[in-house]
Amino acid sequence: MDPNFLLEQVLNSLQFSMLLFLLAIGLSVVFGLMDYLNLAHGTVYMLAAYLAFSVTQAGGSFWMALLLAPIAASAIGLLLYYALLKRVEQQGHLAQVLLTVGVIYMGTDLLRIVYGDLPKGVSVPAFLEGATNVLGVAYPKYRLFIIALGLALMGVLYVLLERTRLGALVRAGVDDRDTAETLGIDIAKVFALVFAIGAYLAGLGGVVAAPVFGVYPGMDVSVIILVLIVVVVGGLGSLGGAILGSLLIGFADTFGKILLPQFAMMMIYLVMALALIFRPSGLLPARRFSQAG
Amino acid sequence: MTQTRRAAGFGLCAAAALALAPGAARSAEPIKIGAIVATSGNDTAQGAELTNGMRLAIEQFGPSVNGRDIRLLVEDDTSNPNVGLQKARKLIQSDGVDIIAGIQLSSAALAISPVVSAARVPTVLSLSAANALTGEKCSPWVFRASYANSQLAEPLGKWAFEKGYKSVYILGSDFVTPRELASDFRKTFEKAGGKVAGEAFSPFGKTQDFGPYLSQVRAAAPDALLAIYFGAEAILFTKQYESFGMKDKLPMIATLGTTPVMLRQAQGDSSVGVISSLNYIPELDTPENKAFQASYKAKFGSTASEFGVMGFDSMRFAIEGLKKVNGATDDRAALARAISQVSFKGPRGPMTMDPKTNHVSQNIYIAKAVKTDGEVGFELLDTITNVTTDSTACNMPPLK
Repeated sequence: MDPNFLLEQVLNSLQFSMLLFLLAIGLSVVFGLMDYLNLAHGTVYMLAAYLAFSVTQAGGSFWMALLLAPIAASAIGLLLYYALLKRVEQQGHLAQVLLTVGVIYMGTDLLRIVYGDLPKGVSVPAFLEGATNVLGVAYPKYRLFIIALGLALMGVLYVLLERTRLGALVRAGVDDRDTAETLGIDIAKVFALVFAIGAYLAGLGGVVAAPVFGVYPGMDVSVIILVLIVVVVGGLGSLGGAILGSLLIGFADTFGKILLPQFAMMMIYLVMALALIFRPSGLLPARRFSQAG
Repeated sequence: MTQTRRAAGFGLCAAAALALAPGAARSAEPIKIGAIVATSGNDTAQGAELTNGMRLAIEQFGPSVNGRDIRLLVEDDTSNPNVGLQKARKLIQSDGVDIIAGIQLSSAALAISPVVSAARVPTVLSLSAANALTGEKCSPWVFRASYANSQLAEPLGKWAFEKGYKSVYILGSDFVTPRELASDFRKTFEKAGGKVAGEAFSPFGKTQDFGPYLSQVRAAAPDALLAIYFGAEAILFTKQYESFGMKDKLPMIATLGTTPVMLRQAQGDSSVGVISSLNYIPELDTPENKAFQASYKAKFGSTASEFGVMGFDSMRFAIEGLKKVNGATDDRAALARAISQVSFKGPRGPMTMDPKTNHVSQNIYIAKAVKTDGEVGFELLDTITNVTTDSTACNMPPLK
């Protein structure tokens, strides 16, 4: 394989992995911490993309959208949590999936009513338009920006989760909720905070994805499945798992399309199947299922 | 007091009865036309334009035929072929429609065609572009006023080779329409001597990142790229194509749907420069088109795209057919025969129903998306006149 071609595909994989990561980390930690399967995570992602569209339509810049939309997404995510999602917190995955899938449908239809069903576009800032030279390969600047942003966020989250008190509380909650609560940690509060941060990251993902992937009703569903696979492969509740899972799925998807175009979709499911057979609790889970029982 | 009130009541009733009676006698039973379109689901935007076009045609060429008012019954197929089939049965069995129009999805049309043929209800398709509908699966009861995939792709294959694109890479979404368009393109392109440098179809509705495909095209270094995408994927694709800086080096050609009028806001400048094979562009400089666009804008406040026109033309075929039989709908075979002989000059140019296939012969326009005064629009490069479809595939059953 031509080295330039290979480099380009590696960059494509990285770019896609970063977008998956932004969504996966929130879903994974919420799932890991509270055992809550929140599919409405995708709705927050879509909502932020639409908000970014509104901001740029109203004359705001892309950067303003990048600043405002995730904050709004975070607030709406939190509101959704307190108003609705919290009610089925103790009722198991089935109730959670049913409720949050309901939220997906309602979110899609609401956005359809407000924005119509034609796909919308968001422009990238002028200096990120077009391509630039990376080791002899002309590669879109905006995609490099996504890769850089993803790597930076991984760093920030590492510090936040591994080096701060909040991170220690979150990890304690994921590890053993009951013991953590006995020690006087208010897990409900920690969870709300994690939920808000997760929604913020999903919102950030929505804004960043909007110029590349477009903004349309149903954009949440097309990505949430992949994100679930990332979480399953990577393992619940851990930063390392979300990073590794995103990279694996990002690379499997991209190289699947090139090497086996007829089986493009199969590659990611193959990765998932292998992970489920050999590492049923994921590659880097925060805790093993056997201990969670 | 009570008596006078009662008397007044009787008087009013009598007056009302008198006022109604002659009216009822004067206007005959209305002609019922059922429209199956999407007013919810993915295809709502196209459905809305198709319906607008139909209403405008009824206003301009109706609103009645030989004293019989035309009544349009709009049914929502929710962008789902199964629902479309149910709605066709409902229109036939409980509403007793005389004609059916609309039907956006080819899959729905293929399911509905045998049903309307058995019920002997003339049906004019406003979209549904699968070749088979007026090819192997043709029916004397089903007419198509939109386009067939081959009508777009075959002229494009020939045109591309003549323009000097000797090798073309084909990318499309992996479902039946892009595959049919691609194979129709290959037919004429390879016959002319062109070489298909490669072909890849991405999983439909599941592909977010087209980067890997675009990198592959770039590595193959063809003269041009043929891109066949629809809706949200069309936006993703053209934007990603632009972001890779391929626009200046690798021309993109396309068929209706990849850079349509409807997606202009979303595609922004990324569609500029793309050359498409289309059955209509709003910029056509003919008196028929100018008059159509003016009346559409006056009624609905926007410019009509190809969907508005196809709705308009499909209804016009139905009404011109009704006029030929003086609004008599009892003899359904006569009505169907009449529709198969309609021809007129419309916004798209000369339109002729071909009785061998029941598909419309029309002009195909090769147009380039350009930006003038900050607005993206089409610049007409070539007109291929009177494009028909392959009539050998259709073995038309007799009308009875």
